[in-house]
Amino acid sequence: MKLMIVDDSSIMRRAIQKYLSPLNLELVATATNGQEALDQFQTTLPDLVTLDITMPQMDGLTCLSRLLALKPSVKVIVISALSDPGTGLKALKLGAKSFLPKPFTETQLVDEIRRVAGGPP
Amino acid sequence: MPLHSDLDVLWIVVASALVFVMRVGFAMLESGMTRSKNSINVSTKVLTDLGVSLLVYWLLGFGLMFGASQLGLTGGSEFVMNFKQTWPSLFFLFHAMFASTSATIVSGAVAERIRFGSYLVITLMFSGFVYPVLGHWVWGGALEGEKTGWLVKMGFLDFAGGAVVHATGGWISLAVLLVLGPRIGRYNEDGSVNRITGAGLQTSIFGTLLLWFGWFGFNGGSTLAVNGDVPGIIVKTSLAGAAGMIVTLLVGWRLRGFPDVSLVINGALAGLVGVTAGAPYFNEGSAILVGALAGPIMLGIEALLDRLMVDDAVGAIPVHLGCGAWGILALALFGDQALWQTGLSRGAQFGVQFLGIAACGLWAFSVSFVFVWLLNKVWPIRVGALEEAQGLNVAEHKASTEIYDLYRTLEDQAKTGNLSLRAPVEPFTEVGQIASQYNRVMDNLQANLVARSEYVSILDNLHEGLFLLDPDGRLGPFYSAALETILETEGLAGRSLEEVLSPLTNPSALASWPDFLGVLFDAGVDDAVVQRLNPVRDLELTGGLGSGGLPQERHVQIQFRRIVEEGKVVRAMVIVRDMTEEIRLKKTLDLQHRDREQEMELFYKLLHVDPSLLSEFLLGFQDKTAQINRLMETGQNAPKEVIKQSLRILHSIKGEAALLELDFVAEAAHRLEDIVQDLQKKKVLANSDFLGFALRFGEFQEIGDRMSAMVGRLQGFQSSMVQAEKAPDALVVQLETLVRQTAEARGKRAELKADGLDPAHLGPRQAVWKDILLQLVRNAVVHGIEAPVLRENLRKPEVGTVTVTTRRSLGGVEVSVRDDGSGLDLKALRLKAKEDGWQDYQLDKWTKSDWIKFLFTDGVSTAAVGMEAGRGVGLSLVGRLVKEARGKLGVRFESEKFLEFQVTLPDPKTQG
Amino acid sequence: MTEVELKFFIEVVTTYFGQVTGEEAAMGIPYVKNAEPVVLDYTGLIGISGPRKGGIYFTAGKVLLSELTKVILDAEEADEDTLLDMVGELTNTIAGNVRRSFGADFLISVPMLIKGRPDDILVRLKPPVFVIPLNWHKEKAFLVVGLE
Repeated sequence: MKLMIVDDSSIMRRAIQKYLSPLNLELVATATNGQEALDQFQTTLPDLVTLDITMPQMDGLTCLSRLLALKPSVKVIVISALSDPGTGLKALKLGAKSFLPKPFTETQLVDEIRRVAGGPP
Repeated sequence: MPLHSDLDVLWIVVASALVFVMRVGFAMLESGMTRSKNSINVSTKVLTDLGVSLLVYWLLGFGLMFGASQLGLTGGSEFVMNFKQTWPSLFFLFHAMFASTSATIVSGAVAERIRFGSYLVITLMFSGFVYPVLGHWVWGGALEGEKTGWLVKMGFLDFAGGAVVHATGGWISLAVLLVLGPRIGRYNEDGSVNRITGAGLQTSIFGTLLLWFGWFGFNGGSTLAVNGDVPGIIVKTSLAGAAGMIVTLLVGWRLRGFPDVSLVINGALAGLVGVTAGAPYFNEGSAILVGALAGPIMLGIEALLDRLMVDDAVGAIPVHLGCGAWGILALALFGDQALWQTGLSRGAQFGVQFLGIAACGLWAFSVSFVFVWLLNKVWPIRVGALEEAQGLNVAEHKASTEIYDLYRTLEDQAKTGNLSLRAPVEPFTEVGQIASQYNRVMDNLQANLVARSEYVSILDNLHEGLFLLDPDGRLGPFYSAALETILETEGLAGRSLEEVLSPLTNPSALASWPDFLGVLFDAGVDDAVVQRLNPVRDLELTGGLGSGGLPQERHVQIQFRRIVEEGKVVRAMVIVRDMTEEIRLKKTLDLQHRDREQEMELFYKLLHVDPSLLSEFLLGFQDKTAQINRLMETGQNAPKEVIKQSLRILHSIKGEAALLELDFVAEAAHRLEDIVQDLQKKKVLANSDFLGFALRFGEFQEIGDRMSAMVGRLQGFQSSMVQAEKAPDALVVQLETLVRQTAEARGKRAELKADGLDPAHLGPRQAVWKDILLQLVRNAVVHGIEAPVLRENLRKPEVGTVTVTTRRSLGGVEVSVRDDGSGLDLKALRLKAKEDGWQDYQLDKWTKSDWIKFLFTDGVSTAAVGMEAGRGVGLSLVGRLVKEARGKLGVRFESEKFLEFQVTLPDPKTQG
Repeated sequence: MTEVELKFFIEVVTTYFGQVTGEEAAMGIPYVKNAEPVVLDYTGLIGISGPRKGGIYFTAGKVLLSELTKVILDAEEADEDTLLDMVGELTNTIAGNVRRSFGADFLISVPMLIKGRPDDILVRLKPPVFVIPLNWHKEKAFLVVGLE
């Protein structure tokens, strides 16, 4: 499965990458903002995307609907602030597969990715 | 005295027996037409009044009726007679049966509410006085074959007692009923009639048949001899009965719309009574005519009585009074004049008959009415309302029936609501089976109700609010009592949760509620995700009153559990907890524990974090907090913007801290976020509102400082543990890593030249030097070295260099950090100084050392100042360290060529 | 340092302006500045020792102080000594209020008056240092508080 990580924090990107390395995923792209994510997405067409909602430039929700327009089957896990369930709900409404609040732990992330990716538990 | 054959004797005895059988008929008729709770009482009256009437008739009545006439008004001998002679005995037997039959007519009319004792007294009065006197008027002298009564002397004809027995019984019934009043519930306030259905109309039908049978003797025996008339009389009697029954049935069916059972019963009786007075005088046709007309007359009187609210329980008055009187008059209208033997014309006979029946009514009604009215004054003739409701079987005789016991149980249950009551079960009877079935129904019902009451008691005693939510977001009909308390709202059943919550909380808290409701009831969304997205998990309620009536802010936790049936979420169970106290306690505890635990946690955590991630985090932390400070400092006129940006920056700190599991930093950042969000919600924002944030933020920054200090101590500890030669190597490696990573992160290329770096020079201030070097080197890469494209344009080597050299000088160490980057932008620096509030005339006077001092303040950097908000924290840190060590700072630069920092720190020992 | 304390200090200064001139000083957004907080032409500093250590200073530019002095004294021009006195007066007011309201926790030094840019004004302030910008007659002043 092809994976793309979208997050404006480099630490966050590195951590997600590290946490997910035991899973059999092929990291095809990382992006630091919505526009970059969109550009990368068009060329790599990943199956799975972790998407930060609070980013500069294009906001995550807009990015989400564009990604889904490009590839409706893409499974997007939205990552957002704990204090903001409204955004998460909007994201689900737009078609995100799951929502993970920050801060999260390694186990939470891995579990969530596994669940969404439909792999073995 | 006429002679009588033995056959006559036999017939009269048989006829008497037949009249006696009528009593059985009456008992069955009356008990069948009344309710079962009174059936025993009604039958008992019929039996008892036989005894009473027989005795009193023997003692008094017979003498008054058939004794030697006193002016034709009453008899005056033959009291307490002996039965030594055949004829008088036979005559007594037949008339005693008549007398008691007449008495028993009353029992049916007054059934279901008369006191048993009163009834017997009335029977005494009836059989001992009213009936015999009247009988004397009509039949006086009959014992001797003479006519001594004043009516009979006038030619009044009453063959078998249409007036004497039936009408009299009816008149007395009427008198008693007027005093007695209707049964409870018989008439409504508007005068309409409530049908009271008898307990066993089939019994009444058997009773009617027996009465009809008895009538053979009643009319047939009234010849007092066996002769050729007897069969005809019996046949005509039956024809009249049949005609009465059929006509009544047809008329009643037409009127009521259905063949009411009472129509055939009372119709037959009406015909039989109607023909009684003149049976021998009617031919077949007139007998049928009289019987046929008796029916409508009976129905008319029945309707009239109901209109007058005279409650005749079995229709005794319409049948016996109405049709008895009709028969007396019909005799004159349709009877065979030749057979009358009165010598009167039909008109005169009618007049006598009318007079007779009127006198009869006047006597029987007025005497008995006065008597009963007086009796009622002395000794109320009616039972109490409770006893009437309970039924006279039990109230008067303590005699129960199964069906009554079943009623009792039902009634008690209806009254008390006690569902544990069970009906008594008599095996082998229908009622017993009903009772047993009923008990089973009750068992199930009770089991269900007990189960339900357990739920209810759980709901009443829960401390949490508990209810079911439907997909429309409405509360179910049942919820725990605590819910009303927690939400301070009553009557929640069926209301929408959003509507209930909205007056209690900040509207923004419910903004995403409709979206959440959709997700909650969407079985396709994972439950864990739903729990995470719950917007009301921690809801702050406002507007409530705390102790002392002061507005108190409260916290509730609302949790949802989905109830799934056949793959659909049909309902959600909702639990509402009041968390106010928990949160208050938690806050207090947090505050107490935080300080104590932080140092330890800090130490522990720092040891476990990947060193390269940690140092990047710390640099970022300082960078970001400085950004916020700068935002506040420079954003004096745009507080909204300050808030917005601060929130973003804090959030990113929180995210990174959480990632490195530096929970105390993440938590502190989270608390700051909360404060800023509160500011964001304020409509009117005063600058003083920022005070709380500034304070907490100051503390937050201190966390960063403490971390840096601790990292420094750890490194100092490390370097003292490691061999002296190796330690500096470690420093060089660290600086190289820093240059490489910092450059990579920013898309630049740079390398460290550390040939001139002799760690031995650094001496005892290892940790301080390390901090200074880290900051200066980082600053050089971040702000000094240009982007590769820019360097290419400037024809510089693609890879920038940062050169570090150390030198021992007199009493100290001198270190230089030099990069081949863009140098120092003096114009920008001056702009920045003016932005900070310095005036041109002041800046003109600044010496080089003033400029250096300024360069090393917060928020100032060597790069184009103000372009990149919030950089430059590194230099201020260096400035502070140098000042603390009482060292000196120097700067040399050439624009677009190089920038060099020279730091001199004195040796600690030379300081005194 | 609590919000109540910080508010108290600010109020003393803003109401001082209000009472003396009829126009209260307005506070800006407070911020933290541990290293080299802003110092204007004239500064009055109070050191605090005892269980609570640290310091508070008020600093203002020449223009603001001149205007303030003019309003109070009805005088045309103010010389440097007068301006220094003005800062001293304000600082004394702060010190007096602090002494009266906080008592035992705050042992207050004699206010120190400084003209120009001192070398180490920070010595007496304990981080975190809070800077509260003040505006009066379109001129800037700062109240700076650094207390344990």
